[in-house]
Amino acid sequence: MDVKTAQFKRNAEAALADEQIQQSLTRAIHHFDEARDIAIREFTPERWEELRERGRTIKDHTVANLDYYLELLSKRVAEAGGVVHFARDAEEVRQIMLRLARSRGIKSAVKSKSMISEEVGLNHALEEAGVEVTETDLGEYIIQLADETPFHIIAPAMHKSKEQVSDLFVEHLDEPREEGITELAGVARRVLRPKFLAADMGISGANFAVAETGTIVLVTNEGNGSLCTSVPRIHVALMGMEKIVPDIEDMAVFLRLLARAATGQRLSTYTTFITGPRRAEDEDGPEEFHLVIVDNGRSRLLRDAALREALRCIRCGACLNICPVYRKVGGHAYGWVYSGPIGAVVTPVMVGLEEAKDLPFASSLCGACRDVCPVKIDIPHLLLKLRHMIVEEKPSKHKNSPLAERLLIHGYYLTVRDRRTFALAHRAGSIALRAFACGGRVRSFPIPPLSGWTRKRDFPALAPKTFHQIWQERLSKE
Amino acid sequence: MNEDIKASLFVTCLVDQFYPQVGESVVSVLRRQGVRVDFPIDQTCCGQPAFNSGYHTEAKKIARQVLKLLANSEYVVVPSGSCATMLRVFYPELFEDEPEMAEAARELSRRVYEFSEFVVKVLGVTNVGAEASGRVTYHAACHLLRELGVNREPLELLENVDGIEFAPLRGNVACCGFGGTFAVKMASISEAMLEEKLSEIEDTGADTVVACDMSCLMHIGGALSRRRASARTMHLAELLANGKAAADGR
Amino acid sequence: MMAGEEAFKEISQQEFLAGVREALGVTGDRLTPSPHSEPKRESATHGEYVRETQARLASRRMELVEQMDKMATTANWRVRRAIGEEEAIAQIAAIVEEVGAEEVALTDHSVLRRLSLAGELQERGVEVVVATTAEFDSRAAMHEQVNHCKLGITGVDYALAETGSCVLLPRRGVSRVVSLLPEYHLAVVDASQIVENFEELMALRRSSFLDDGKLSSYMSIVTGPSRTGDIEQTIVIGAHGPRQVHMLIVDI
Repeated sequence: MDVKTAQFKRNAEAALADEQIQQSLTRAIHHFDEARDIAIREFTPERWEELRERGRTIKDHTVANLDYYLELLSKRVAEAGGVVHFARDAEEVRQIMLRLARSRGIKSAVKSKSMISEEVGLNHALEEAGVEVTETDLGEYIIQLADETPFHIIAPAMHKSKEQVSDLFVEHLDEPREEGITELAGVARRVLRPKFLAADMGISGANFAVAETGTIVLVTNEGNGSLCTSVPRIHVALMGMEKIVPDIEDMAVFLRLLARAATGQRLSTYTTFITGPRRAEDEDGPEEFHLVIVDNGRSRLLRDAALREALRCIRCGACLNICPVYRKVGGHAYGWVYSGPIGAVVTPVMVGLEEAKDLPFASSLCGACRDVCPVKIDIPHLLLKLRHMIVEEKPSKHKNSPLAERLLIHGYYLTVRDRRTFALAHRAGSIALRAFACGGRVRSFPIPPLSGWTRKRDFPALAPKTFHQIWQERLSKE
Repeated sequence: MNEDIKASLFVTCLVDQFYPQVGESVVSVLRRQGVRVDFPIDQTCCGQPAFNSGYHTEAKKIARQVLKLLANSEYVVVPSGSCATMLRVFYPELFEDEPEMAEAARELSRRVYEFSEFVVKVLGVTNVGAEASGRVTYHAACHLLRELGVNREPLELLENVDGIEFAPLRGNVACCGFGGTFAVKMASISEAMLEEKLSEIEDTGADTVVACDMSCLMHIGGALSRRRASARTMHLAELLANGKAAADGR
Repeated sequence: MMAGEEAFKEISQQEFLAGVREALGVTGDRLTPSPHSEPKRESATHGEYVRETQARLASRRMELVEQMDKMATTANWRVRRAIGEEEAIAQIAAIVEEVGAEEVALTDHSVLRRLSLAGELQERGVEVVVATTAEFDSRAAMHEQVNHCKLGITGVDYALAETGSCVLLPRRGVSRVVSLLPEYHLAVVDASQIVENFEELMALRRSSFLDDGKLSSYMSIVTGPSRTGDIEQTIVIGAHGPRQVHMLIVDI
């Protein structure tokens, strides 16, 4: 997928001004909040906390021993008759997939949701090679028709109104216009069913991979994951290398966490455990099973002991739903596959700090994301860490921050390092602000950064006397 | 009473320069409870603007001064959840590569309290005998709520203020959009977040918005003022300094 | 083949893992990590655990049936109960009629076989497709035929009372698609198949894959009808899988 992270601010402004996007966000947020409330009601806070803690512990253990578990997973997949591929980057994933498609004479593929495939731009690569690729998750299908990228990790077409979906279907499909949501879902079912039955290849992601059994676990509500992995003769699953859990019992923890955090369900409708290709005696299932294990920037997260915890992420989308920034600007503003708070953490590391240096600053650090994260990723502190890396870390020391900002921070430091300069600043500031103040407030200030403040907010005038003065004159004597 | 308790006030730069009455209120409330309050005179700012923006070099220099300044304080009381977070949570993180400084920072963090937290947890007081009037709502500032885990304390103190009508805020755990430099770096997003907060405040019909952070209140108040709204903002300490006991005490 | 592609060489597992070790800062030989949770799979104690679990489940049968009924209903299964084979067949026939299915797909599952369901339905004038490859020229032909059926009837292998889910383990005689392709699905649950939750399921399943070292190729946990919320976050029942799901809990 093209990286448009450098334009975050411009993208965000556009989203804020887009009435349709704002409407979609408001509507979606209402549903998210409702769903979360249901999830919260079901568990006592203590039980939920215990579950999150177990999730965190299991993930940390796995990531700390990732080489061991990858090796085990790989061995077990092979024992079950599957083929394991490894890919360091997007290009390697595409090459592996193209080679598989060509050597097996693949003409059509059906896809269940895979974020890795978004990362590497798989659809376009396969299409260029003459393979018809069809997304089958309804949301993914809609954005495939619109040639857009996911707006949300689990609700990719969240930004589309039913009217827009209706228009898209009329434009791209040979079907009569439908207006209602149920009818539109019906159109997708009707159009996609023959694709499932005819496809040579099923492509899926993997919500989890169980090392001890060589099993990948797919979670869907629509049933498209089950169809993609049951009907075509070849199944290829793409997984980020951090998606592993050690034992099958661990799934008890993660299935509960994922369904509740993502959609407020007890369990998603279809949870599918796939271990290798069909056995000789099975009635159906794919003849070949391939697992592509992908790095694509994850080892950079792994390398940094502090950032490593971002690899706990199970892609539930809860942090997006709660984030006051995501709730205003939506997913496209972030400019790459992962949006919201977790996107602001992983994207800069995966695509490069230089490319995405605004993202860690696209947060008020309110910490609501950390509260809802099912694996307790300390997102606000990771954002602070990234801000520091962007501004000061060698070798790019100070290259990533504008000169004006550096001067401002240094000026701030010179002012506050001594209480006498601080007092002086108060006097100078009083005079400066007085020119702009009116009735004890500044309504408009022409110079950044304060000009950004006064667009919609008044700025207070400085107090006639500082607390230092009041203390010395009066309070210290009382 | 708490005559044995000595507390140093870390008043924060914002209160010092813009809202000194908040500092006065804190002193007044604490003294009424018998606390011996001192004010280490060499203080200025906690360094959060630099830290929050990624400038650790500058933040560390300031933090070193603050650590030295407060080294001998029994308790440090801060009328801001965010600045208290800087002292208590972020200093130890800031110095994680310098074991000695990190230890000093951890040691300080055990003595730092946000104002409402100090009154309830350390002094064990939930009723300071305050009196006020009108309809009051409370905005839970993010750092206070989520970094320090202080939620109940300000509400308990508010509950015991005579004469006010409390109107809870619908989205009172959502950020107001301030976020330090975020408010000017990402002004449009910040404004949009604030917009939502304001409509929630409006829905309560409150005439006073109380919080434990002047930064959020400067943000919320700045927009109320721009819109010429009748509601005003007030630090919890100001509300608590009001009333019978205050009059008696002076 | 294109030139670039021929030149492409997949990275080996060894090389990839070396990169991971380097990122982790691990040097030298790696020891097996200590288990992250309590040991639970030494065969001796495991066998005991399985027996305990089975005994506990048997003693709680009625309670579990009630919980299953309740939670499955919450998950949008249309739940019915039957006592004895005769009543079970009558209930199934009623459901077939209710959904208006002229053609019904069946798996060759032991639970259905015990009811002689294929014969019973045929006697009632219902066209029955038993979805096994032995009956068809090709797998594709079988899928096409199942796709034409309005109703798919399957047995289940376990049921989870906590979430109201059915656990399906496709194998010889049991196709994956009977519960997926038709518009309606009927799951026939034997009361003795109900366990409380996923942990118990795994405890019981573990014995079967411990012996031969493998899980079966496919296990599906189904919790209600297929659904989507992808247009305007409005839930629509019946996305790609069945739009209506029935469950018959049979106590024999």
